[in-house]
Amino acid sequence: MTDKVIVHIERLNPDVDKESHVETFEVPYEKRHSVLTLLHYIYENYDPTLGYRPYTCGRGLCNSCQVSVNGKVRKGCAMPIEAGQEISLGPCNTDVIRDLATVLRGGPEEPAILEEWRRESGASS
Amino acid sequence: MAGYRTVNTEVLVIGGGGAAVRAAIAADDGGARVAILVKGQIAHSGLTAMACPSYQAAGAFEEPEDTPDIAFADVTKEGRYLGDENLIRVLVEEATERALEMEKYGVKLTHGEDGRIMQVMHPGQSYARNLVIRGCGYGMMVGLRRELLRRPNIDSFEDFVATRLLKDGDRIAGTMALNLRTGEMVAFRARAVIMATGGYEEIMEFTDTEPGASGDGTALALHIGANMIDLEMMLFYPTCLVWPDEVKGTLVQYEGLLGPRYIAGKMVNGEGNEFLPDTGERYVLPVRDTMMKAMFKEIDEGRGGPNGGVFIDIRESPRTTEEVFELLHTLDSLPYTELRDLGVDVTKDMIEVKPGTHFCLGGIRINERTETNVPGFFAAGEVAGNVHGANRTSGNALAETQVFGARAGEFAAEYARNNPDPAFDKAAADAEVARVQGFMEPRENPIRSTDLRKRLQRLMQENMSHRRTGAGMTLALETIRRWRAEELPRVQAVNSTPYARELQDTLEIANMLDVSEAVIVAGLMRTESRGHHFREDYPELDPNWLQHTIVREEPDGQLAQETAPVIRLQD
Repeated sequence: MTDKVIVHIERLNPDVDKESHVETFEVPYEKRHSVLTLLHYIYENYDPTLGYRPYTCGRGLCNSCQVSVNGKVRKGCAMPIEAGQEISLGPCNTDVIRDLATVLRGGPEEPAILEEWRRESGASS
Repeated sequence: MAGYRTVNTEVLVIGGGGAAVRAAIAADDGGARVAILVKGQIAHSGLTAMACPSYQAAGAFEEPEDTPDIAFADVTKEGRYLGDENLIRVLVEEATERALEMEKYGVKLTHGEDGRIMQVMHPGQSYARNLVIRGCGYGMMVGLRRELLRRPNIDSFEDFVATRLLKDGDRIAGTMALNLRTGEMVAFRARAVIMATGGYEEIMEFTDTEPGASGDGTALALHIGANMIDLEMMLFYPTCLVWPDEVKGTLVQYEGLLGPRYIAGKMVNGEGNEFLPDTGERYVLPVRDTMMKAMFKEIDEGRGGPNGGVFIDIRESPRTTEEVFELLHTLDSLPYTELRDLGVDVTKDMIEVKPGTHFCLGGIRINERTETNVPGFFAAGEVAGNVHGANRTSGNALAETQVFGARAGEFAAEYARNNPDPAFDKAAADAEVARVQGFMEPRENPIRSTDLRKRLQRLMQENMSHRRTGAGMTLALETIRRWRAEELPRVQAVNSTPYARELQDTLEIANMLDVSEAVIVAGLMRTESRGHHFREDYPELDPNWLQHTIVREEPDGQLAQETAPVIRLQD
């Protein structure tokens, strides 16, 4: 019995990184985990800069926790992980805010003023 | 990174759930320029998106005898006579019209084979009264969002966290907000502000709600001196999973699982014995507060299961497995196939559950125009109080979002038409930018917000759950005040922009401490047991307490306490 999970996470900070890199975390398997609870564990115990959307229903409804798991887009909360497993996580689309936090599609367009501000800030974004 | 940009609007809606989006639509109908500001993304965050499919509407689609008058009597009684009757009257009379409007927007209601809108009966209802929204709360939000997208004059600011409301003298003037995607502060100037941020369940450890329910709107309203009503009334949902860990805290809909008209399962304790009180009527389950007391009694007296719950057993349901899954699919929100993936097959295994905090009955005090005591400041949905009373029947949370959301939008637009732009309080805005950015400065002996959040949740669970006492609440109150003075200044957030997650968590724990304090002050005031406020030192319902608790933050930061009569309608 292996009592840990190995998680490879695709990290990207679009403000500074030209391309993404993979970071690996080992999470002890003291209680049962889903992909979402693993992310909570990593954020709380290893890396407060980890980007992922925290406001999720936790029961497979709201689609807020969508991530790519081993190359397939899945709901993180509804995906159980077993002890000893090794998984790769990435963003669910290409519109990455940071790491696994993306702009989920189908929502309203951004207000014009935000676009204006981005143009003003120029190089900073 | 000092300074901030400014957005000017007429009606500002804070929140992104059912009440907020409905308010934005109504304000747009009222001709106002509207901005809606939400800390996640619309339909992908907030409390409506995770709600069960029930929407209560005495529309008499299914049972012609049902009327708003009967619904009024049911809701008043089940709220233990603590709901304001002017608000209940509005709720029962307008819920049906708002539901039909939602259908036009694109929300799908379940229809029966004869084409009529289907209605099901839940505890506390004289007739089958709940509409069943397809796709649950998420389906409702997707439909509402579709209508929002059709309206070019509503600007949606997603991933924006409101941090402090601004005033001009007595009246509202807008809010300061954090743009999570850039880490920048923004001043939103508005003539009218509608608060629709949902509840504060997150102050408790065991909840079935989403982690965003940190009471931001409650705290922001408190800070500008809004009257907060019956904050002690936090409703439990009787049946939330305690196992498996991955889905701990997920609710399973007992009405469908146990209701004799539906799956007709039974509830048993750890010894395998049934224990729920007999209501004496066929088809009638005990209402939520009665049921949860019976469940807690079994658990507290040592007759619970291995994970501290009791069991739902549908293995001997009179329905076939196909019928059971069909019913689960129609009535419930938890995907049972996914529960089966986690190793729990509900047709073969019992489901271990216990009551979890589910809804905040109290909140910002409103009148039937959704006005508060602060001019220009409106509230709708769960963040508002005094609609349901001391207990809420199933389906009235979603109905409340539409009925009062629509009213808030209408009356806020009217207010914006009749009032000039407020002055901008630059000093307050500057101070707020400094406060928010201060959390990212180096602290001595720093701690993380998540640590303080967990300590607060444990403290509240121990002292503010179903076994409240004066001594326990006083201890919790003193502890919270000490933590705010000594621990909060140690909380340090990493600067992780873009996506300022830890800064946001930190702003939330600051709000949660303030809300928890006000909730306990209200709990200490109410020296009786009523509905979901259950005191061991005052175990009986006291007729003299047929009144509201009001807590209000004074300009010096102290909490003023008073009582107010429940509003009754004259016949």
